[in-house]
Amino acid sequence: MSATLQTWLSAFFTIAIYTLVLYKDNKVFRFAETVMIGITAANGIVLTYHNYIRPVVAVDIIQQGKYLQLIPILIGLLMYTRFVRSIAWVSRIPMGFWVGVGAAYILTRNPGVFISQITASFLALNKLNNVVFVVGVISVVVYFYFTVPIRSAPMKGMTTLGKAFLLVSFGATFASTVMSRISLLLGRLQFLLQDWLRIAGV
Amino acid sequence: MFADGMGVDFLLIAFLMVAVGYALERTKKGLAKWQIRKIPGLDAIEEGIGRATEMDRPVFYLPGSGGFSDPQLLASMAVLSEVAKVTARYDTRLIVCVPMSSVYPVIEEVVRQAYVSEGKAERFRAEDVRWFSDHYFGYAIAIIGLMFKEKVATNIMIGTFAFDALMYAEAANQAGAIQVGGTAATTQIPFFVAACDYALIGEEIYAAAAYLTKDPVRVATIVAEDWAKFLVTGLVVLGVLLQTAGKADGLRNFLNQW
Repeated sequence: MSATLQTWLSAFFTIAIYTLVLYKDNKVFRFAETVMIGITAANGIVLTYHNYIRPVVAVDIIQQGKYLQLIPILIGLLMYTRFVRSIAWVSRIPMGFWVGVGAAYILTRNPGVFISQITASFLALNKLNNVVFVVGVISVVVYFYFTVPIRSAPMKGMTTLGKAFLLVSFGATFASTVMSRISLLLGRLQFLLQDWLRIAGV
Repeated sequence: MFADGMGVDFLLIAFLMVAVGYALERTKKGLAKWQIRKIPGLDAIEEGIGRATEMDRPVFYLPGSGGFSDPQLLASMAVLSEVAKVTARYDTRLIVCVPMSSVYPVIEEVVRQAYVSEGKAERFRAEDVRWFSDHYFGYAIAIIGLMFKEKVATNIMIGTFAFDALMYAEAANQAGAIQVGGTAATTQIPFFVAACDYALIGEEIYAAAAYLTKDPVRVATIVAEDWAKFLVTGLVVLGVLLQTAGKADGLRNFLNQW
């Protein structure tokens, strides 16, 4: 068996997390869960401080005099007014700003992606692959027509075909992802058997 | 006038805005009654909340890991609002877990407003809108633990999900929950299809709010989106025919570069 504390801790937490799936909800899992949440939350705070707060305040504002950066900081601080009931409404200003910026970003950035997907579908119908691709694209788009009644035979046919294309692609994606998950499981088993217990050779 | 490739983007956005305005105007004047086709996954949401009410166990809602620049989060917030209204109406406990601290206050506000709009402000429990960690693994393990601890009856997951999709679906399944999962993340849809009782596939999550509320403004946006899809279908057909004839370069360059 391995003698390092790090390996023992890794093995303990690996097994502790697996106990939920392999056994049932239990105190060992709860302990591992709590430790994990605590560590990741603390890690997030430290990273935020080192990657954002310190460079912006100490370097950009204090050293380089970029005082405009105080504006987003002030807007961000308004978020904390939600803890004071009488002025909690003020926190909606940064929230509204945030959602608005997000929506505007989506509106301006997404059409470009669609356009490149449309032009990528311009394939000559001289190969079976291309024919399958084009029929797949069109039938799947038709499947996502929400306000067109699916009563006529062509519409029924196209939506059924679209659904079939979707299911085939889901099957392929599912299978390839399951393969990658199994390789993750093997990685953990390899760690437990080789690095921790040292009962399996490399 | 436009940067390369932005002219067509502008035209597409302008087309959508005019189309939404036109569809809304026709709806308001009663000239057209648009109907969104049946989406079983969305019908199942109310059924799932009803089940949770009967079992006196909570409804679990996960809005995915997207930020505000992710359209799936905006779609999920609209659905969450409707889910929260129904849970408020039925006096059913709703637990919402948020993966990003930046999104947390907005999600909390969405749920609070839903309870207020149903006249149940006093039933809103701020502690049931929860954030654990911005770190994916910390968040994921906390949710899995919570699903078992709270014995959730219904698990609704709508938004952006990554490798964690199957972890939540499996945990909720083991906890005995009925599940509705929806995402536009193409790599994760198969897991929702396989592991959830009902799955919303891609675009269906954007139609969800309009479908659930039947609100004319929202329905008008879905109608306009359908018109945009007609345009896309037409462009694909035209482009394929031109490409087959060896003359698609002009159209391709126009769409990509204008």
